[in-house]
Amino acid sequence: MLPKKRPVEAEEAPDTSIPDSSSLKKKQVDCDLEPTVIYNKNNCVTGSCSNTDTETNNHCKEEDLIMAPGDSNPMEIDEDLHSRQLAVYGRETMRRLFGSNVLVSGMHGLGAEIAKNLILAGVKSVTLHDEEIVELWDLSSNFVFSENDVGKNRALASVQKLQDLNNAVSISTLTTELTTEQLSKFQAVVFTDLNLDKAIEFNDYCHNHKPPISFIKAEVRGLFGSVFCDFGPEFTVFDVDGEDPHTGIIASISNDNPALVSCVDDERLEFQDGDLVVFSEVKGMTELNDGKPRKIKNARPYSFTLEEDTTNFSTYEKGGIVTQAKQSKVLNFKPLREAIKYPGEFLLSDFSKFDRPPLLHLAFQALDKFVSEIGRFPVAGSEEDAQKLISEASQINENSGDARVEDINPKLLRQFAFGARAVLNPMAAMFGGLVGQEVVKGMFWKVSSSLSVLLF
Amino acid sequence: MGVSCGKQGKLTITDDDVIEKSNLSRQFLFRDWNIGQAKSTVAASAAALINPHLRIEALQNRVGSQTENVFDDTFWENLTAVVNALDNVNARLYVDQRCLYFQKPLLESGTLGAKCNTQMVIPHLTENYGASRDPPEKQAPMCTVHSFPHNIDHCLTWARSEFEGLVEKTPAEVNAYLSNPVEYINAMNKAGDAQSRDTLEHVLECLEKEKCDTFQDCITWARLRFEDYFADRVKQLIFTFPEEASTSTGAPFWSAPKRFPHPLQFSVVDPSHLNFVMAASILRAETFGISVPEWVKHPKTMAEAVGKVIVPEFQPREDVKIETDEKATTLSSASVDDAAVINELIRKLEQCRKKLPPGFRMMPIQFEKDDDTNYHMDLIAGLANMRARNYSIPEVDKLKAKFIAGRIIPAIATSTAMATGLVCLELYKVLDGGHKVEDYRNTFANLALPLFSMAEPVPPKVIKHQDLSWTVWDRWILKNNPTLKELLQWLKYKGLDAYSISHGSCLLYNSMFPRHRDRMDRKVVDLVREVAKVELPAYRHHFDVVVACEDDEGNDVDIPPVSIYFS
Repeated sequence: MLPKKRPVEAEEAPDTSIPDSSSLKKKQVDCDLEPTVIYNKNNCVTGSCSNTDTETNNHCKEEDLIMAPGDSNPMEIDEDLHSRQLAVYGRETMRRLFGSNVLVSGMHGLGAEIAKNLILAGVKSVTLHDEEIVELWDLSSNFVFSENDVGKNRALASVQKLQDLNNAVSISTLTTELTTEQLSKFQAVVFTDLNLDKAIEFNDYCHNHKPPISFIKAEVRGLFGSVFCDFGPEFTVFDVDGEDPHTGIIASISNDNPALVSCVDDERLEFQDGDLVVFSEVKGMTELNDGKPRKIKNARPYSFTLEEDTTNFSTYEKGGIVTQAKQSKVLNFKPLREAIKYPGEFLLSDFSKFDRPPLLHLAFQALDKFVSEIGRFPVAGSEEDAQKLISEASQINENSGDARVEDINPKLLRQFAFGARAVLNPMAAMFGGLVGQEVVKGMFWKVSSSLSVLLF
Repeated sequence: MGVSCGKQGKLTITDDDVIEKSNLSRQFLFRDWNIGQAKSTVAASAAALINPHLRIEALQNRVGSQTENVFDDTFWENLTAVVNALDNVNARLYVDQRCLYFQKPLLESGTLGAKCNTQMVIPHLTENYGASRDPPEKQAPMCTVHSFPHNIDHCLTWARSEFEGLVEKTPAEVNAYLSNPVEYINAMNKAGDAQSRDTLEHVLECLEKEKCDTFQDCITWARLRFEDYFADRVKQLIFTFPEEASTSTGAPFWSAPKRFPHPLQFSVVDPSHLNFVMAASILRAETFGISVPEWVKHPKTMAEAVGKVIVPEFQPREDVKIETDEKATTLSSASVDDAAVINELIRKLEQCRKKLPPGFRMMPIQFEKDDDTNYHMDLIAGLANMRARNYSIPEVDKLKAKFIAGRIIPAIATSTAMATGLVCLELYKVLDGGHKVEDYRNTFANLALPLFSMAEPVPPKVIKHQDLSWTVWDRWILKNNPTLKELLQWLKYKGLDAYSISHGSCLLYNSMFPRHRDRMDRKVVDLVREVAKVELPAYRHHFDVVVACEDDEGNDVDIPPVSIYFS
């Protein structure tokens, strides 16, 4: 259970300097001892291995961090700048973050917030995409625009202010229509203003790409928002909750089947039924020190039973520490095309409105249809537009088979329609935080469960 | 959002802190070139750039009882709402009390890593922030930290405390003595306790036996510190309590959670041992104003210099007392002859002082966790890890040590963004006005899982009396500068018999004392000034009294504080 010692300590060569005040050098030493993480031996091109390079393709695994050849910027983490963030993510994740290229499409308030969060976190590059120009009403939700930006392309107008946030991140722009091939340059793509058909097309590409490109579609419309995430058909989560593994100090272990393990009453245990644990430093019943994960049951404040037959083990003498063994989980994300029809479980945010999500799912779909048929958003306060939206929603509802909603709550849909054109800054901030976090999670952060669809 | 952009609007922000590099990874109103400037003024300028219509004032005061002349009654009364962005519970409790008092909505929030929470405090609708408190954090008992650690946190707590003692507190004490010997000695004599004795011993050590004049002296000191901490003390501990020792009840002494320690054998080829000595000697040199030669940073030369130190043999003693009681709060053990020992120490000190060069002072060092080049964390991590090694506790790297010892609160931009978004959404409701408690939401979110949990705020507790009811929000207000008689009458109308009135800790009226009847026609404010001898500052227009009342049946009734306005 000994954590890895600081690299410098392990070296005994006489000419190695003890960490001196040149922090630059020290961090390089730090990094050099973990070659497999930083430099992919096959020197894959930035982003996922392109499909044409079939030979190297086979060597590229999801877990390998990929860097452009000749990239002279080693993975230095500016520990002073990022210390508070390091405390949350740990070095490993920060390094992966530093090698990631992300696309953010749609520079409304939401896009700006997401870009800001990613830039502050310190990804390798952020590409801003938007084909539209800045209008006056953008200023109420997008904090990077000012009055003299009106008329400029939204992506171009955002660059300087966002770059100021963190000079280490390369920011580039795309101002023309996106093609699927362009997506292959990124580890993660985030769309904030994309119609459903295009979204499905892009998502199919990302989902089936090898390795999969993390795909997130998010939007905020007035006081409503939705997020959809797809990290690929087989996404391994190494650490489901991001907390330090729970531990306990052992007081006694019985010879029984199942065995009863009691711990000292200094601190309550935080294990739960079904957790896997490993033992160490046990004196006497040393058979348990083999590092094999074992399941526990009947978790109590100071004891639990162990699914193990210890009747023939040696008698417990003293000592011993029991530690939670976190299991990794593999998640299978649904592609967007499927998720629209069979959304599955929505992530509930407000239990008093538990019947909302399916309704909002309809609403967002209806809105998409409205926009593609009529070419604009519903005008705020227009009854006519609201009615149109409601009828679109009913139509979709009729055709949705099992997912059909009983009561489509016209009042709610009306409110939805009225606000649909607006982008409210707090909504952008909130969802910006949420999506920003999901992007990091898609980068193999310790945590994550399946956030498929969230409707707020 | 356009808040405070109208002619009548104003946003007041305040923070007494300056911008540091580590803030930049999530406080996005600040840039590289703002490091060192005041947070509030920079934030205000950045905000004004985003929306030039914003009317904003930036102050640099901490909000608390010391700044009630800045944040005076008028200030509070003119507020529409208060939004907290504080980093500690005490400040939050203070603001909560003020909002309670002035009946202002408070939008409270906080983040920790990927978790965040928001809480709405609306006058008369919800309970206040202070109504529910988190349980206090468990602190390890002193004897655990000092002699029986069983996890790395214990080791780090000990390391941090030793660090402060060695490089900050003792040098500061030395200077206090040298700057004002007579006063210092008098104070020590007066206290005459075990703690003063310990302090004097440390001061004497610094100026006599362990005084450093050259860098080699510092190396000697550091090497001997290593021996003392990680070899001698452990040898003493296991001599006093051998592995098979039992407690008074016959149970094994070294049973879980205690871990049986082993002394370390110093070796110049062990880089961690060498690093410890290096960091310690560099910092020691700093406290004595001795310059650090370049060769210190090279292991070979350093090892040679350390090898020259003569380390005396250690013999454990029979008579040493080691504290094992978990409830003990101090390590200094009192003994009968403390006063005599103190006198002797003082005598020696005075002798030392005479031999010192004139104007001799030490240089206390203050712990600065974020400077990677100052060796502070090197020493603290070294102390903690060597100790961990003694007790077979897994060691940690310098970064993790920094997080724990420096008590760094993990923070990222995403949860911050989420919390602010949620707070602002609630702000819409507050500013809109007229919303019921069911419309508001308190949220807890953990972006890591992800988990979002929203709930209605809890209404405040209601107290009833006859046909009256009130909550913690209520204040009974009396205007027009009443007399004592008028106050009592006013309460009588409510069916309450007031028998005792006090302001702060001073009794203004009590029905038991006949003499107090003379006060009936006096203005209550005058009673406060004369009897309570309280000076009401110019910015105050009212004061509060606590009234103890009975109802008609003689039962005590807990009434809200009464605010009396006299101007």
